[in-house]
Amino acid sequence: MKKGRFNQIALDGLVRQNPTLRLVLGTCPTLAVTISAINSFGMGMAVLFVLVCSNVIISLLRNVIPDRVRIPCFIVIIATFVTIVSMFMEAFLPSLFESLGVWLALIVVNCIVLGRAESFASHNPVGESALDGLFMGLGFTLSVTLIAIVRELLGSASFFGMELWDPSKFSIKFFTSNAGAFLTYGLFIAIFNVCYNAVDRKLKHKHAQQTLAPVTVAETKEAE
Amino acid sequence: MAKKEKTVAVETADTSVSAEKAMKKGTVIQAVKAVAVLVIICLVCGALLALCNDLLYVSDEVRADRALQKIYPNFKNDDSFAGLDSSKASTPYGQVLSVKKSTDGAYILEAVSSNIGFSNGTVSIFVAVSGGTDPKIVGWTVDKNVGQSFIGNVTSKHQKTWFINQSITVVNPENPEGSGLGSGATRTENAIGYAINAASYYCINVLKLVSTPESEAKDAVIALLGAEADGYNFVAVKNADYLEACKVDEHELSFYFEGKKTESDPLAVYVYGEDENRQIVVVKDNLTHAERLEESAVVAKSEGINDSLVAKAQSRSYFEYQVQKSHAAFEFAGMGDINSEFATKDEYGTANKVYLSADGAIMVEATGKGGFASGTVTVNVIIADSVIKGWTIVSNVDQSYIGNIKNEHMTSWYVGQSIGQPIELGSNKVTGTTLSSTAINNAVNMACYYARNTLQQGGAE
Repeated sequence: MKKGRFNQIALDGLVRQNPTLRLVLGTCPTLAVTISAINSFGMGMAVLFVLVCSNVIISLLRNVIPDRVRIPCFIVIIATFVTIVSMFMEAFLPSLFESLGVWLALIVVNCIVLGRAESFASHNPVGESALDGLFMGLGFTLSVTLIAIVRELLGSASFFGMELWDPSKFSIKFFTSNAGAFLTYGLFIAIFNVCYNAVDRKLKHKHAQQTLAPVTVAETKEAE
Repeated sequence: MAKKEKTVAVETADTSVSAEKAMKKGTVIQAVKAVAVLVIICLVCGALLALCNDLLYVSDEVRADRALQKIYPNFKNDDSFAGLDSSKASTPYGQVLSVKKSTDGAYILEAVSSNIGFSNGTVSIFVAVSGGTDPKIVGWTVDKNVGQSFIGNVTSKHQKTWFINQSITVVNPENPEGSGLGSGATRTENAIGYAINAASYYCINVLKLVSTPESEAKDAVIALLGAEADGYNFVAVKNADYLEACKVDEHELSFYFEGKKTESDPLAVYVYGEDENRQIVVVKDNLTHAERLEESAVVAKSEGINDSLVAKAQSRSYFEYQVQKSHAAFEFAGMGDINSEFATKDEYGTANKVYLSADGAIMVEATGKGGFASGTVTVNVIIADSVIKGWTIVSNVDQSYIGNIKNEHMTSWYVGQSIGQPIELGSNKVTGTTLSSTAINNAVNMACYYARNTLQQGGAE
């Protein structure tokens, strides 16, 4: 795989097509689990595992699975990995399993997973599909963990479960509520997109200057 | 020329037919291939999951250990403790499933509520109860549930606050009308409260962690009965009116226990006074009124007990009290003969028994059909002067929601209505229990039908 392709997939997953902040996919679990950073990180890791595994298998079988049954096949494959991750968590991370509750099982219907299977893994080779799953999963994990850190800090005065100060002295309970989840998520989307657009414009401008410069010199010479 | 054209046309038609056939064949092959691929993927995934299940399965023992570590991390099993006394595991609030004792004196109980939860479901919990002179609930966690869709509302935060440091003598009442513990899952909260109560009840009555007037009275009853108490579960009926009704002169009834071992072998236990003044009389509770008055009905009585207390115990049962509450003048005077001509009516059901009162009132036991799952409800209806004076539910078949019919319904529905005409269901129903309410309505109508046709109550039909 070329380095350029690797960078493209990585940048797409983390920034350009960040599933949570750019594509606004997987909204339900994002709102539900970001009450605690540990839960969000755990959810992110679970989604990452499912994304990588399902992308790899779907990519491997992309020439075998007939077009007309592709969605049922994708769902069966995704559900299998979700069940495996769920069993694993119940066996080794019981408290996280209990905290995530039904949201863990609902990864099956997470738009990010099915979306990447349909739009990427079923058209690309295995290596690229695995990378896509990895970086999309990382993009999701980073986004939800960041949102959760802010909500947990302001709402519960703690960081990854560690109490930083007495919440009775200062904490904004609103951030632990559903409305607080929507507000924080909205603010994150806004800030991320403002920054993304600014950087994108700057890069495009720089690129335009670089491509326009030789033309101007040639035109000048011609005029002379 | 024309012949050649005809030949070409025939050839073209043949070609299109064969192409169509080939296309159809191709479509069938594709469809079969699609199904085959899907089936193979399902089989492989199933096999993979079966393998993972073998490797990662979490057993009930592991689950229990985890719950134990969560609610009482200092637990060290006391091997000398005998464990659950299964003959006393059933409580008025639910069932105790297991008991463990820690070396520091604390107890861990696993209890399941009676079917008081959402959709008549149950909740199983683990409860940690501290030892010492004032035992308290120090931790609890939900283990399993049946049909509690909103169990997720009860979070770990609730499990760290509700009931914690509460004395085991506190009873957590059912509160189906809301304003419960605040999770938004009121019926599930009730089930949790009942499971906590079941564990507390076991701690008080079997483990004897605390002594209450009720447990002391029960101990005295068991001591009096001796070996005859084996296998019996004594449950106190907390009805202040009944306790008052059983008062004899200055002797107040402290407790009334229903002792149950088998359906056909129940005991009624009357406890008068407390401590050294305690007087107990135990009578058989499955007898007719006349049989109860015989001396053989008395199973046990305290030494030197006042004769009037024994006579009082023999003369009434809790069921009779309930009936008399509806019609205070009802004084059992014998059984009426069943007239088979009017004992059955297709639209209502059957009349089973007729009790006669000394004042001319009658009580008809009738079974109404049309209940939930084609089941029935049997009721007793007291009729005097062609008016329904009172009614109670005797039994039911397959009526899962019969518990929704409360005492207040029995004192408001039908009471005061004339038996002259068939009674419409109307507002005599509980939403969500319409079929059981219909069966009750049919049973009441059956009793009225029988009464007006056979006993000249309200005129013949």
